[in-house]
Amino acid sequence: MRPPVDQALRTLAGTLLTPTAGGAEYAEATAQMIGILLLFAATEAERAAEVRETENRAIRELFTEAWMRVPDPGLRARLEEEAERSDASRLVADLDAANDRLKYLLIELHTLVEKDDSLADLDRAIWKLYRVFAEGRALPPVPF
Amino acid sequence: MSAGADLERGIARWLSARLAGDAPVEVGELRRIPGGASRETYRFLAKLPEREQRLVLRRDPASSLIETERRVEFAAYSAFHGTSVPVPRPIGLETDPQWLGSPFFVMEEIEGCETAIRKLTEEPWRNHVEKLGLQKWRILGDIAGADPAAIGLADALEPVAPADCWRRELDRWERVIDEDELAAQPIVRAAIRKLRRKPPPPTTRVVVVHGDYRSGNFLFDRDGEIRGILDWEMCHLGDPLEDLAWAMNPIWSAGDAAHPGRLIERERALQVWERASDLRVDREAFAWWELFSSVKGQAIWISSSKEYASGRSTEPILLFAGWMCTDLQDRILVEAMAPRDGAGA
Repeated sequence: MRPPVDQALRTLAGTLLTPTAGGAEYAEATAQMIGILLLFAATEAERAAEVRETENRAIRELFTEAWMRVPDPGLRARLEEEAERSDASRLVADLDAANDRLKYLLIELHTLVEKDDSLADLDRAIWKLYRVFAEGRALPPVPF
Repeated sequence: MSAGADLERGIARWLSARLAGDAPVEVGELRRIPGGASRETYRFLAKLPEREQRLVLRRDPASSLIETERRVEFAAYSAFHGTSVPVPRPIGLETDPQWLGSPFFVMEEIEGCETAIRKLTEEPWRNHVEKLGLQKWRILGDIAGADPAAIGLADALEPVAPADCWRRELDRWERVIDEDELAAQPIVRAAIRKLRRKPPPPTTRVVVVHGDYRSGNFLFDRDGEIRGILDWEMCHLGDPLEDLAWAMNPIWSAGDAAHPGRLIERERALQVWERASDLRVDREAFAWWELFSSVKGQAIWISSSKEYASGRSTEPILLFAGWMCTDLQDRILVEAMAPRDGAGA
């Protein structure tokens, strides 16, 4: 989730501490919205590291299968290099940095895969991975 | 003096100068309307020399959810007022920041109405779901069926050739993602590539596109009448299927895609729209615009994340869009595009 939870919580605290010119209805609606956002933050705080570690591991596993089949030598080398890495830090900021690096590389790989019918199985594997991303980061339904 | 009192004074000064020939005007009962991160919206009571009037102020904040055109929105209200497309009566547009610190416009308040779709589960609105649905899609059809020149809106909107409608919009929203993404976005990028691989045919008619026509952006009363279509700041000329697809995006349906906007059934909605617009929905082209609508949505939610993260705005609705809506839109995109048992995306 971006912005990250810690930054968002600080900003939300500032909003609650700052008088508003909006009136009672606006203040009540703002408070309700902040309540919903705090529920999201609680969900994210609990799972943040696990979600990112799971995604990073899954992307690297895909790269392990894919790099040998990529014709472009530069991309192949970068995929191989990432496939051999692992996450040394469990700090969410570090996991996010790795996650972004892996996903930008995944975008390059998928762009190439889409153009090559011989890599159709990789295309399906990448879409399965996208489903992992989407479902793993799903937030709870809004309580109204 | 409080910020609210300052704003009341500023509005009163402006009304006095613009509407009352410099006669004294009082403004009171100023209340901000929740929602709408792209504008600050207030309702207030104006005591003019001859009458009292309930009005609404829409003011540019320091930041907005997306880059919007205040002139365009006011022009749209002016063009559609008095037509079969209900809108609040526009009063005046002010671009000089001397009055309230930023540009704004004023319109009449349509009283006694709601916008929140969750009201449809409550009395008396739950009895009017079908009536509201028929109106919603008919009005959208009327917007698509309107002649932009005849209603005086063509000059306010940038022209576009029929064959370029899709490209202009896709370029615009891809650029937003390029500029504003805070993290890699592989799912929406895959959608963009697919849209570019096989664009839609040129539209048969370039029309006024509201740009944000959806549940939550129209006023409805306790009798189930739609009394005003709001939030025209993304209005532009384009393909009529763009509006239809945006309004039918699953993100507005709370999980019930068979009833877009939580109103009437999808096929019935399309038929109502076709009758009102006198256009036929090309299903293949519509599939393109439906996928595009999720790209556009994701771009807007990503932009909201950027605004909130940058500190330019602290409106919680931006964070909600950046967290919740990006999540939902990614899931919608995956459902729409992921291969089914060996088929390509």
